[in-house]
Amino acid sequence: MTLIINLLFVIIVGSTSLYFASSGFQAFTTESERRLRIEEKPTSLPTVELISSDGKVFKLQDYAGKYVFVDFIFSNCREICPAITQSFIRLNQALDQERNNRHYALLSITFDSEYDSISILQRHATALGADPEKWVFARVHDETELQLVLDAFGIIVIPRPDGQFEHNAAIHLLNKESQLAKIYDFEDTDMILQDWKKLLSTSLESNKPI
Amino acid sequence: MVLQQNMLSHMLLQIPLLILIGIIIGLSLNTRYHIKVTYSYALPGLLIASFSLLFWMLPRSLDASLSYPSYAVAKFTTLPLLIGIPLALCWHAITAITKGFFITQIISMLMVLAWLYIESPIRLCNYYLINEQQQLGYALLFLTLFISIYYSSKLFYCTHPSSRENTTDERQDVS
Repeated sequence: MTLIINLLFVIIVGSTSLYFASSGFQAFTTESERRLRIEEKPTSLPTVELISSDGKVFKLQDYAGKYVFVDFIFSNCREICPAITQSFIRLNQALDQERNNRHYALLSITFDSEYDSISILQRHATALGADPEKWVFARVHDETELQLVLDAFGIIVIPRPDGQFEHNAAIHLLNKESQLAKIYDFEDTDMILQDWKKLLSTSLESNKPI
Repeated sequence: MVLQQNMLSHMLLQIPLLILIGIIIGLSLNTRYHIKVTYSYALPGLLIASFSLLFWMLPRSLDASLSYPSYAVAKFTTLPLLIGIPLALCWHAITAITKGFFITQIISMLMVLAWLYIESPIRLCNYYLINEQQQLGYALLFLTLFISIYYSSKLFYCTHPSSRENTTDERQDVS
């Protein structure tokens, strides 16, 4: 009898702690935890100054009223960032054809603040043919401010021995209040576009301009 | 701290070493105070160890132990206290079948982890590189193979029945 009581006790306490440690058995990695947490409750972002590739100083909050897709890159990246950038290009083309194409913006923030100077970002943006009205490449003033932004988004960057960086790659959606509202896999442009259509139709139903 | 810089040494050196510290503490407690654990406490004790191990096998917990000091403290205390000590105190008090059960659980868990780390196209821990993750996967694979070969070989040379200690514990428990 003691055995059964003890076992039950351990099983209950043990599974409860595992339940909480994995957000109800839904998120086993830090990345999935971050996505789940943000989808449940959009989070505010720090008011850090960003500098665009054409030298303009702005804040994330200046986008208020628009939906902003944000990704984190570095211009020297050989592996994953070119793939995210391709997704951004595809996304930009598709969103531009939508009726309400004034309501979105794309923002690529570099986390290699040592190498990616304004002129390098500018060259990078031109090489990609990014329309500066729609798609802004930006950097942050210094490492401390960069860390603030990365922490708020939940991005962890680790330098690799070959000079590249390993980082969690995703496409982040900021809502009209400039809060981080959703995180997508960067390959998932179809899903983003689907969600975007839903977003448009719900705001039409409620007769609100989006 | 140095051990945490690489995923392989974090998972296969630091964590086992912390558990080992607990085992040594447990064993010395045992020789000093002659703690007698009955089956009714031994089995739950090992279950506590299993749950704690499962907790620290979540990639999320491992990441958190690098991001948050509270998790780091929890790791350094729970690994010896909740895994090492129960192992040292309870292992001899369970029956051969229960031992076999735990060993097979450990083997299958390690095998699944190995496969996961080798095959996963994404990084499971935000703090480690993907090639470290694969190295860890292969290391786990070899470790698991070694453990299963070791226990399989016992099938051939340990032909005597389980020790007397276990059977007396069992009898006490039934009453």
